[in-house]
Amino acid sequence: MDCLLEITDLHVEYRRDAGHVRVLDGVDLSVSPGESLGVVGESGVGKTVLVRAVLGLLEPPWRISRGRIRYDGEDLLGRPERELRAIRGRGIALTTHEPRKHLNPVLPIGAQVVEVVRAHGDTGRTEARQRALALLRMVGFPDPEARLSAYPHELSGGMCQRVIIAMALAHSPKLLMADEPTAGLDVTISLQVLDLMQGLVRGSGSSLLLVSRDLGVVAHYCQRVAVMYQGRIVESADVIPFFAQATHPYSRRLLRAAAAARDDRRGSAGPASRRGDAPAVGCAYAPRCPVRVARCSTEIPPLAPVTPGHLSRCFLNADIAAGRVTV
Amino acid sequence: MTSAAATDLVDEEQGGVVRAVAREANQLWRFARTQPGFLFGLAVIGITVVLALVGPWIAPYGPEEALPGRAVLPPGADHWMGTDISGMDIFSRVISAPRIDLTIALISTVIAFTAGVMLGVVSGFFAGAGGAWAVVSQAVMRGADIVQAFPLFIFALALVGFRGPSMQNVIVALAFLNIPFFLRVTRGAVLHVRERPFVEAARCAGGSGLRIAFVHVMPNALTPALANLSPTIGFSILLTSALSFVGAGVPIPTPEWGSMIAIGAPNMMTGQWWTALFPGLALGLTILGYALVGDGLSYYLDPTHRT
Repeated sequence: MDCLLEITDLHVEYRRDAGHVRVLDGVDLSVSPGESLGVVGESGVGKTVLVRAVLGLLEPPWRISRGRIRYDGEDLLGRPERELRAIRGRGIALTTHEPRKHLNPVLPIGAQVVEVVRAHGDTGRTEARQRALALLRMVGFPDPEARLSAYPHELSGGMCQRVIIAMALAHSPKLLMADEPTAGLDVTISLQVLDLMQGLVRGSGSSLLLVSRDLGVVAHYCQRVAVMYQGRIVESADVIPFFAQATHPYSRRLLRAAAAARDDRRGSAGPASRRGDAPAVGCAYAPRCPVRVARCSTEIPPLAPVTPGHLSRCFLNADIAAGRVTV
Repeated sequence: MTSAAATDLVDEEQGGVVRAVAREANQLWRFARTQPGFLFGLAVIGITVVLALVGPWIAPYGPEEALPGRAVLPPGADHWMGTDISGMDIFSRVISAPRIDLTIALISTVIAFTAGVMLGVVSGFFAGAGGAWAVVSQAVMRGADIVQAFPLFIFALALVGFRGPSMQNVIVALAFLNIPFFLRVTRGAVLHVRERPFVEAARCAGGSGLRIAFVHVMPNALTPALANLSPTIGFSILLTSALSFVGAGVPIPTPEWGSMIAIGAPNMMTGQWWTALFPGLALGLTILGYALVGDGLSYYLDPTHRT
């Protein structure tokens, strides 16, 4: 396989005294070199847990109970912390939402960028400082020399996000995972940040895994889309086929809801889901699905191809695609 | 000392640091002007520090000099606070005492602060983790339990029993007593700080555990320990005096408030109130001052009160 990142059948649980909550329930996902993949889904479907699992950041009570994560042909799960540390930041980097909270409030941003630069390899002080300045300039940080000694609380959210991106790109990672990079930023800044990120990733031939709740963002910045619902991937396809003919009922209603919101009309993907709503057996979307059949509540539908490269987790794929069933 | 690694990172920005310190000092002064108790405390600290430096030199009489035929004189023009049973000038002794009391309190508190914060960061950061560090974390906490379960006076008396009364023994006893205290407040803060997102971000960037603990977590978890620094110094002065009072502290006739109270106590019963009152007042005001500064600082350091 020539995949950069390959996640197979990943199960993650959150352990509680009262039992376990299955947060990821068999996620299959792959990112090829140079590809941009968008992962979309509503709040609480496990998007953030997914990226944390890839970096090996899950600690008890989180537990990876099954599955496999391969990066560059090698398994990541079960690797010792020391080896993971070598991959974090250098092979796979992460940018987070709430950028200000992810910066240390008592250190100037310059020191923090320098620290990241020096985390791998042995870069000298002066050299690291130069590199930090170059990185900040690269992410469009105005007047970086003067702002190296600024503290995070003295910067705007967009500026903090730029610092985070600069830190993530410090070691030219092969894969950049961006976890809702635009949450909390206004529309113009969001676009600047996303354009910037896309430009930098393309320029270096890296891959991008963009986690978002915004279908528009994904349509614009990604080549492929994966829709997550209650800990599973329910549909994955290239962007154009996905927006033209999404097949899974959830994706379809999600798209319609997004379009309705844009046109200022009421639309809905069905009643809001709550954690714990997902039935123990069968399709997780069944309780909300308008076209469910008897099988849906007893069997989990497979992630089956609709057309080559377009997968959907529904028993009615063929019927929906052919228009025999309308959602 | 408090965050060597952090300043190490920052020191390339010398100008920035100087500017930040000046800004901080200015802000602290503006805060102090609105807080009379805090100002009083600052004055007390200033006076005790000055007395610790020059007290014995500016004293009108030698602090350990027994004047023949002048025992238990009441306060007057020659002896502002009177003399004690051996004919030593109480005023001279009261202003000479900070050299001993403050030195003991400062050294023992600095030792306790440094060791307590370090141990607190390690035990808090690795609490609940796996492996060798979790064992260390547990061991530190149980050690603290043992020290705290041991009565200070018994410990100090035992030390004195083994090694004779001396300043060093008092310092060791007080440092041991205060380590668990700094350890616990720091550990509590660390347990909170280590859950904050920037700690995980540091791990994402490939930082190692100890480095994250001391560069990222510790500077954010220092506030409670710092706010308790001043009251602990005041309390240590009190304990030094208490130990001297029962004879387990600084040997007589070294000028020290606690031992002066002990010497003066029998005279007080017979009406010579000045022998114990003045050292007692000095002791009380000093502890009050240090406690007020601690109070003011903890209010000042609380970010929700910042302007």
